[in-house]
Amino acid sequence: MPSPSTPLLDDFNRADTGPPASSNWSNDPGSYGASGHKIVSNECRGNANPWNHSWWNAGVYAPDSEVWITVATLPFSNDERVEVGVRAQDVGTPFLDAYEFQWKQKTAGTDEWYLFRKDNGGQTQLGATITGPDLAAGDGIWLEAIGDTLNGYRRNAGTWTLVGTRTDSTFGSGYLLLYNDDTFAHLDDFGGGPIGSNISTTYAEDFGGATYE
Amino acid sequence: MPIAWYICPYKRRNPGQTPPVRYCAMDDFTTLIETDGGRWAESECLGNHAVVKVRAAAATLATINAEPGFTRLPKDALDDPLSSLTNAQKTALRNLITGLGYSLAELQDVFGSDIGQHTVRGVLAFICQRRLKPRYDVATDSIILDGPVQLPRSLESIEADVG
Repeated sequence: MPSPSTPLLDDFNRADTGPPASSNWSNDPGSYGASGHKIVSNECRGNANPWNHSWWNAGVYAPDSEVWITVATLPFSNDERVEVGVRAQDVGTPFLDAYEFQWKQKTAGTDEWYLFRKDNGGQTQLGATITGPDLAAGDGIWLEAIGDTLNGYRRNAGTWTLVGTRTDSTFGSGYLLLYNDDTFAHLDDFGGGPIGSNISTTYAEDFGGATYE
Repeated sequence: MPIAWYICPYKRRNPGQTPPVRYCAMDDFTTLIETDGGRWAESECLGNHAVVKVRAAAATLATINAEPGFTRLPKDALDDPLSSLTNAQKTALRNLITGLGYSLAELQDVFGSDIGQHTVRGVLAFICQRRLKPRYDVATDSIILDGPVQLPRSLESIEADVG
């Protein structure tokens, strides 16, 4: 049964603050005017409408890396999105490159999922729109990048299942990303890093906030 | 279930919204294809287009054939020779390739004077040799393809994905 092999990086359990949610987070990796994320009642929330986009600045991770998060409370509206990203390069500029796995809520139908390659700030959808499964409150979203393979998973009732796989080999090492629309989704327990690693936040901080496997 | 190879364009999903999204227009047929129990996969090439392999029911392929801007290759299997193509079909294929942005000179370097001496695999591998990195232009709310040359997904990878 698949599951992430990387540590929890941020449980968001601290006093309300932000954006950014801590010194390990930075706002607006694509430099398009997005707000960032903040801590509210020991959870992570978007700070503003319509876009909240942040990057985990405490580690530049090797190409075989992953990122995961829990969606503790679902947003209200149709087409609202939560997205995680890996291999992000040129962060904080309009030239942001990355791979991203997106969940899009469909209030009157089955939720949709997408895998994107972000080139210079513009997203290119890789392959088909993935219809279903629905995401429930407390479920998780996980993007795993191994070589040229991108795997997107959903965690439901403690079990991770594959949602979709795509192939692309454009980008290598980079940062981790987090995105969601507006302020309604409550996010929790963000993790990731080099696949199979035991790297920890403490380790990243020991090396001045920049790590590379 | 039959298969087919197409050259089809990318489209903008969310004009006026950020972040901007472009997608392979074959996605407009995903529901039809998946209802058949089929699937598709793509490799981006030059000219804001993709090489796409589709496995779907014949009726679905006929529907896709009629979509403006989509071109179905005249042969379906990668190792099918193009020797039976009419001169008009060969000319249309050359025009399609040069229309994507490949030069006539490089086309002739690889295929000589008669593309009919080659196979579907040869033509598609030629088309899948490069793409340009996109960028988002905020002022015009458009995704422009004028960046450095990028290596596309391989033909073999698409073949393996769709089967």
